[in-house]
Amino acid sequence: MKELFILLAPRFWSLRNDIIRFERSFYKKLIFYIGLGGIFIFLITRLLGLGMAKLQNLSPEVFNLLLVKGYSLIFIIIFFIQIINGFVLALNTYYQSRELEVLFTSPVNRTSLFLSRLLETHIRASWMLIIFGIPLLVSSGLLYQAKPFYFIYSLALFLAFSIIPVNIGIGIAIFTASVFHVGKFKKFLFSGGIIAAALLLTLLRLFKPERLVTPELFANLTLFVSEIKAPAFILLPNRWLSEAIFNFLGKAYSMDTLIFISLLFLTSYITTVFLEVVFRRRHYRGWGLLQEGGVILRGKGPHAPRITRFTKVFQRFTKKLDAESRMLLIKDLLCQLRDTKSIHQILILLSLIIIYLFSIASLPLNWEGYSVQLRYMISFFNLGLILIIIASLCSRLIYPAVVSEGSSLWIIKTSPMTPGRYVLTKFLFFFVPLFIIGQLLTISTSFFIGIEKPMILLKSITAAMVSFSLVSMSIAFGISELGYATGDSVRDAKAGSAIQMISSVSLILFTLALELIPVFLYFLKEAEKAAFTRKAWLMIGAVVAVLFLVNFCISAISMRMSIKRYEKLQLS
Amino acid sequence: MIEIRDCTKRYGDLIAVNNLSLSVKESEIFGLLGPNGAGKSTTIKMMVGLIKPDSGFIKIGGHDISLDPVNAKRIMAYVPEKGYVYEKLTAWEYLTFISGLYGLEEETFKKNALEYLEIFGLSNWKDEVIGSFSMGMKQRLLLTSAFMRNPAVIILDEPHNGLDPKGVKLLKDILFRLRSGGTTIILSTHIIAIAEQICDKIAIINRGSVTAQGTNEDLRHYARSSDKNLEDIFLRLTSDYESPGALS
Repeated sequence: MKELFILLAPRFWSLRNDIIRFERSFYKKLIFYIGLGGIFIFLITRLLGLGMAKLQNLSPEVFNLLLVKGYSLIFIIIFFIQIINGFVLALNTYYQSRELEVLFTSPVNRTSLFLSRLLETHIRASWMLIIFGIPLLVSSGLLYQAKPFYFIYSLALFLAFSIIPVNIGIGIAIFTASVFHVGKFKKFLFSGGIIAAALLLTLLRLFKPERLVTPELFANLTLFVSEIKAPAFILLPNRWLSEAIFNFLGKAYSMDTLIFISLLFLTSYITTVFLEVVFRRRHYRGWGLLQEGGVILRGKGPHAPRITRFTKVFQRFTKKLDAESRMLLIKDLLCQLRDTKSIHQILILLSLIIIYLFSIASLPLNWEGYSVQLRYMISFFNLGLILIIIASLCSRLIYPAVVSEGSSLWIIKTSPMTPGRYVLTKFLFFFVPLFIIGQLLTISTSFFIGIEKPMILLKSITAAMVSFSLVSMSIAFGISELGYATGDSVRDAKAGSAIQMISSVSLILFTLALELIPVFLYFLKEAEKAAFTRKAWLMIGAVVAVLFLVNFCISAISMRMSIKRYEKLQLS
Repeated sequence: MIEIRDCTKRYGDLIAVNNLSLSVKESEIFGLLGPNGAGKSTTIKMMVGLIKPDSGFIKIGGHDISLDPVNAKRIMAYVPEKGYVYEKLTAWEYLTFISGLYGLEEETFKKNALEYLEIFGLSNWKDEVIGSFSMGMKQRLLLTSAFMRNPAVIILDEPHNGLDPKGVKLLKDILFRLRSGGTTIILSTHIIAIAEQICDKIAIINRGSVTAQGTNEDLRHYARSSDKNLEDIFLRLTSDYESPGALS
């Protein structure tokens, strides 16, 4: 037991040091996660509570059936997600964590080592329990007006329930790692998962799932409920958990309830004992394989994927730029193309763009009597959504990419490249693709919606101007974080990107508020079937002028800030 | 060629470099010697423009690094102690990138880069991604990227870290060759034997200040020591040292 405490002490001490030394990045992250998590949990709990209360008022019999089925379905989803969660986390906590070399070479007994890793995996997997478990348990408790004991009881049951899938996931990870090299397998799994998810999402959308919920297919609610098939096999823990919770809430205690509770706790204990056996028998083999793999990798490095033809085309396009900027652009391009994380994000982005375009194209906009109103309303919200997509891309791709330059910035900083040229080259690299995506989305969706050409032009100009500002803002925010981001840049970048996202959303809201004027004018024009007056044109012109001025100022200030901050940056 | 005058750098209450002055002549190998945390790396980082001194100035080839950084950096090459390089690029792509940053002629770049890759035993690895390199290989690549440009000034921060004995000998030979070609070299090290063998002049830095500087002979004279090796002089001049006899 003493050894277990020693093994866990570094985690505790690190946390304590962050708290008492007032580490800026730690508090930024803490406030960000607690704030965001708290809002999310509150909203989910509230929404669940409201939804359930509404359903209960409609039909109490259907509601009871739906509630048990619904919870059972959610529990089984959580169960399988936790298996994957445990699996992925265990690859890190049992194999790839940096402190493992020190721990495994120390004279600590293997049980303590196993338990310390197990505890860490469970703590790291507990976000699911907090984010989804609390709203589920609290909302059902509030609905049934349960006593305080219920919340302790249900939380304990949910904890026992959560241990089972995480243990299964860890077991699978230990077994897999004893056969395959963990690093390579993780990359393969992650890439495969991302591609599969992107494909699945796109296909799902292309199949038009909205057809399934048309009133013709589901004549009444009872039929709908009976169509829902949640796995409720007696040997599945989701059944034990939902039965134990709802028997308690409905005060329908029986011998079965006790059996289900015992099953939950016993299974979680048995899986832990069984997992230790797996760890003792298979872990060392996997650990050894990982060390050998590392040596092999170092000896015969993978040949770099040849992208020479691609870079030659790129060089042709950037011929007019000076050698410094061109080389920086090519370097950034190669780094992005060879970074699997970037490729994954681009794949997800592509599938989301396809889904978005398809969704806009299949909108039923020809409602009799409401066609014009609907078109202009949709086109207005469409612009907002496109701007949000661009802002998200800035936050997810540009900002971290700028911050991640931190550890290798000494190369540029000690070169004769001026700060102005560095900032402008970075801007060029990110603005061009963002501009193309923004224009592609704006123009194509506007055509799908069927708005007039001057309106398409206005939206296209707006998207271009806002993209300009958003990219320069992302670079400015990224450069301001460079000094702090020489370690784990992506982790450091998360809190800063939230501030950047808030600034971006403010700009978008301001833009949309201005855009309401031309939308309203067009709306009036279409409703009255009259031509635009001179005053109307002047108003639209004024909106464009204000937009131009605001975006120009934001871009200029951001660029200036970036240059100044880069100049002042000290890499100690 | 290099002039440092009254430079001071503070990190909060800690004075990393305290009123430091140095001057290095052309075609000279100048060693910065000092214990860990003496302020060698901070001095070097101020020289290459990664950190700004709180007071004082640094001139490289007559260009003030704070006022005219572009021209100062154009004639200088820097190899850090633990320099992170772009792991997703191949060795050749990295060198091409550096040649573009410093505006090297394509012919000169190809000739010099291939020559130094060959010298450092990296020719067969030039199309491999840097992420698969060992620490020593990365260090050799960084040295290649610095030497291939034929700069007037080379600043090396603990360049022997990560190099095997063969690499250390190779580096020594190259430094001598570059010196005879007119290059000024500054290197920091805490390995006394290396400083003794390579450097024409040495500055011993301790607690952010220059304790002594000059040739081996000068230092011996300064320390009023008849000791034959630099190690004893170094330990005498850095007051942290206590002889083993004093410990017992």
